[in-house]
Amino acid sequence: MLHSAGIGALTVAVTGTGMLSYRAYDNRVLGADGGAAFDAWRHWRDDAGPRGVLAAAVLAASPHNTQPWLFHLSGDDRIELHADLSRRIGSVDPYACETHVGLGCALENLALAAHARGLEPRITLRPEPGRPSLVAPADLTKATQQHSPLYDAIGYRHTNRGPYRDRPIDTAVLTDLAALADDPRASVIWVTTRAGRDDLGDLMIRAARAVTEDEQQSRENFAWFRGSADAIEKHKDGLTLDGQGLSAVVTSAAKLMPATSRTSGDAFWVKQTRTVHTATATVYGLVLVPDRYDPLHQLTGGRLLERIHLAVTARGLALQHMNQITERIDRDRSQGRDPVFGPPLAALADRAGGDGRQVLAAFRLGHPVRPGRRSPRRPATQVLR
Amino acid sequence: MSRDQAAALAGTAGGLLGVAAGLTAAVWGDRLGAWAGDKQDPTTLGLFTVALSAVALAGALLLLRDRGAGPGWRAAVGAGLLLPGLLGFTTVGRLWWIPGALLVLAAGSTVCVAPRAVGRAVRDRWAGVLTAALGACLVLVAVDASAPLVAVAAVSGGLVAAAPWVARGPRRLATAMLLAGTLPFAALTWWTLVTPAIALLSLTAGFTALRTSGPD
Ligand SMILES: Cc1cc2nc3c(=O)[nH]c(=O)nc-3n(C[C@H](O)[C@H](O)[C@H](O)COP(=O)(O)O)c2cc1C
Repeated sequence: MLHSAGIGALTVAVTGTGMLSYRAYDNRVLGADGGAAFDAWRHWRDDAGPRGVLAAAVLAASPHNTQPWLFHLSGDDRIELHADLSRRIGSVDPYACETHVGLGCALENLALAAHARGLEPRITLRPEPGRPSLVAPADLTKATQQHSPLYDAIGYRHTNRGPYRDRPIDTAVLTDLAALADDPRASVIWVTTRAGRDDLGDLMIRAARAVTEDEQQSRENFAWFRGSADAIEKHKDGLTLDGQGLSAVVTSAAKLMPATSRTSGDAFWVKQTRTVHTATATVYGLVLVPDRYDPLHQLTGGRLLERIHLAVTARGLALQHMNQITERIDRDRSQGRDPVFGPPLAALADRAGGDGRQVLAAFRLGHPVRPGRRSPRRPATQVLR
Repeated sequence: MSRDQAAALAGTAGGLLGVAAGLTAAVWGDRLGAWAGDKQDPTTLGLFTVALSAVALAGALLLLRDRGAGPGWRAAVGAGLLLPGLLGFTTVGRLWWIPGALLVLAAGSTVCVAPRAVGRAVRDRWAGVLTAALGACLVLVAVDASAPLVAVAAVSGGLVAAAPWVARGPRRLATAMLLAGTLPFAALTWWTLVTPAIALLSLTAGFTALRTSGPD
């Protein structure tokens, strides 16, 4: 009797474990980045020709990993970068500022990959004002090969949303990073003081909360969250659990549990912003431009942002983009409301040496506790027209 | 024709058609859409289906060769036909409808020759069956992992699944197989939470199986 009760309990436990095992398999608790959605990271150096340039470009950062790009290849000597505006995140990016910053990031990778192949890219930004989707044609001419550590870093640059160590970053490193700005339209300033970081962190937490309380922004953010391995493999874009910077155990537990709802995802993000992102930020960086609504400035700022991210990666440091404040500024502007976050952000930037220029993008820097992880990518062949 | 012969015939036909279905999915799966189950990676799943079909085919051939063997043997052959028969429905879509139906039919027919005796045999070794299922879970969890980890999982799962069935030999061997199959893999992947849970249950089920399986 006792024996059969024990066997019965064992049978129930094994059935439950079987179901849990299936969930672990289905959600890729092991081998999270082994699928085709991550092939672009494994093969980006395979092609020595212009197609290889595209393979590097698609690994760039983009808002919510929307990858808002399309490419045309004419022969072997011209690549055109086009905007895919259907991938703009609606009310989160009403003026396509972030979309263009992401396109600028892709352009930076493209330029580095061309140089690494002995090609000089002559890039013209938005050459046809009547055709805004044509972002930047690049004419490629033969030149001497330029290999740079920034190019090498393309394959392991990731947005790191995990905790950073309580260790300062050398001022010399920040000076070097700021010196990467090679176009007068875009520059970077640093918020390093305790008071400055506290104020900016506080603004970020309030902006994150405001985004989650705005139902449309919350929904349009959530639309880019890929909560299952199937969704990741199908779309090959968007945000994933693996990209949240959580420890391996917590990530596994989250994958084994039922998929999160939009509201619990929102609450999680606000909590992470408060307890991890802002609490462990060593330094904030602000990319500044004269006019954040000018697409040329957005593209130029995006190139600088990606260059900084690659340089940070090459030094073994971590970076997380944090743009909820500007997302709220654009949202209020698009709704004709009084700007809630604009004046305090402008004041903060001016205190850090902003000199009246506008904040295009914000990020935090630090020594990571754990490495960043790959995000899914559509391969170059899928975005080539 | 005896029932076993009919079952063997259905099993052989199901196994051969299954191999064809697996190869078709592996080669043309991308173009076949729902016919091949709309899978992200039809090549791997197609090849896996070929392997499943081979197991079923082996079961069917054994049935032809060793007709009239005991109920334990009959239960094993039935499982060898039924499990691939059911699993295939999840790997190659509609291509599996005919081979799957044939294999399920063959399994049913194999067991139906002596259903009570087969039922008793399964009940007697139920803890062993559970242990084998847990061995399969270990492999399932690691299917998408890196190649070295898949290899470790395959060996671990194999050891766990086989341990209760070598109990006729020295107990120490079965015990060593259980420990080697569970502990290293669980230690290596403790953070998944699932593998330590499977290991714990495997040890419980496995030792229960060893304790309850008397000498044959
Ligand atoms: C313009 C822009 C805005 C972004 N805003 C945020 C943000 O507010 N919060 C965040 O965690 N990541 C942000 N990111 C990072 C993207 O989500 C990330 O680049 C994308 O998911 C791809 O991942 P990867 O950078 O690791 O390749 C932003 C990226 C860009 C280019």
